[in-house]
Amino acid sequence: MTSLHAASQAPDRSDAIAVAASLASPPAFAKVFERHHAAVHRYLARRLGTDLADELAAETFAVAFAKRDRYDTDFENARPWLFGIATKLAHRHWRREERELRAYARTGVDPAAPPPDERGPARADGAVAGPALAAALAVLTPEERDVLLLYAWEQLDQPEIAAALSIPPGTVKSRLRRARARVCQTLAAAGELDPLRPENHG
Amino acid sequence: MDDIELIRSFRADVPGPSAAAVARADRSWQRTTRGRRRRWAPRIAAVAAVAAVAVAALILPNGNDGRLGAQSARAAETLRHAARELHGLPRALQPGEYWFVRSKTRWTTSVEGEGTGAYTATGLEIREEWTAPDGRRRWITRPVGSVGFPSAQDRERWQGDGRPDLKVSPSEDRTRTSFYIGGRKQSYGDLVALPRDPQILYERFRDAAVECECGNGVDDQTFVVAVELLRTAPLPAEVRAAILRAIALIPGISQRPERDVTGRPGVGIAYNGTQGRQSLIFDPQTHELLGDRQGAGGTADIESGIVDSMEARP
Repeated sequence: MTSLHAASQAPDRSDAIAVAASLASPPAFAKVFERHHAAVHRYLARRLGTDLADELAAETFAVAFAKRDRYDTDFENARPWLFGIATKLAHRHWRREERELRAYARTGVDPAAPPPDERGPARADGAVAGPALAAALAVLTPEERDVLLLYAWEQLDQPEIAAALSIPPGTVKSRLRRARARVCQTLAAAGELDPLRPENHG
Repeated sequence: MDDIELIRSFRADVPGPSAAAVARADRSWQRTTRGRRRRWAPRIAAVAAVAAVAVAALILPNGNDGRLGAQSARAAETLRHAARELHGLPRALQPGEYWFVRSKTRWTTSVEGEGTGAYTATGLEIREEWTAPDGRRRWITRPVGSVGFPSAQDRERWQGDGRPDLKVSPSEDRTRTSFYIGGRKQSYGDLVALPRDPQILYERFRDAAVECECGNGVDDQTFVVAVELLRTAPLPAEVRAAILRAIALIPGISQRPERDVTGRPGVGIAYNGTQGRQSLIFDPQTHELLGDRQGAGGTADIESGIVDSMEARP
């Protein structure tokens, strides 16, 4: 894998403890919400725009709260669990996601972006790479996109993605490999990525 | 830039949620308090609990340690008496055996009315639950009677909200959950082997409460940790008795007359000063554990026993 995932951290059990405590004392779940809502919202907003993210991020925590007695506290950090729920909710909207990615690729204007008056400075993904990336993500299957975005954006490792999406680790590995190969192909064709960098294809 | 770095730059500058969206999302999970609870009825709302602590802190007069001490001593005496008179599961469950409990549960839920403000509704359901020593559970619930409101204001707000149907449907589900002391997962074997010494057990509960950093202080949370274990795990009488004796050691417990959710009169043991408090309710004569309460909600035990399948009743 790439060096993105090399850093290992001391186990922080506070999520597991808060979820378990919330079984007896529901207000304890507030800690989980406070700690992760912004990140879950950001992930969903990047996929589906802010408005839908408002709705789905709220639903993510409502679902998580209702299912908290099934949380496996072997997971010290609740991120894989929460991003799994968020991804499954986002998955229902994959047609819209693809439509918007294709529109962005075609027009150079991102339909998922907020209207110009709410926007800050120029978009970091830039006028050129943005549409090319949108085109690259649009050609993936929804399942490949789920795995790739959890890996690239949220830096979940492969076992975490497998647990989050309830799929076998081998499936994560093959989807990730296929997704990266297809993205690299599309980006290289668009001139955004030097095709002669094999170390990128971990 | 490699492909992953490029993807990471994609839509990297999305704006965060507005304060209003965060507040809506925060209310959203709190409103699901009627989710798949285990034995406890839900707390009404975090905000209410926090407000209650603030009020309690204001109204508790200073210099009444003597009175509170006497209160704790009486509560501890009740718990020790109850520990001697414990009924229920006589021994640890064997593989293939299940602990069956039929209870009446009062649920409460907080509803965000359209324009009328939040209101609370409540109702009773019969709950039957089977628990295996490996943590598998099955439960069936069915509503009894109609939905009610704790106060006239709640009823008015519900009427103003267009009288939405708050009826609860019968439900059935299976799951597999671990047993916990606070946030620490325990096997059934761990629990059966818990120390019988009340002081050592009390310290275990207290450590779990400290680790959690939640609730309204360590003593309050120690009470919650111990009560949750007592009420959710199918423990043999000897361990349950030790838990009751450990609860008796928590500073700040008190007792007062309190009815269970079905109206049976009893002695309620709770941690001091928390309104919407959690309490264990004992029969005033026999000291048998009748059930628990948590604010307006709670559970009253009706019948229990060891059975040999997840369909069987004693």
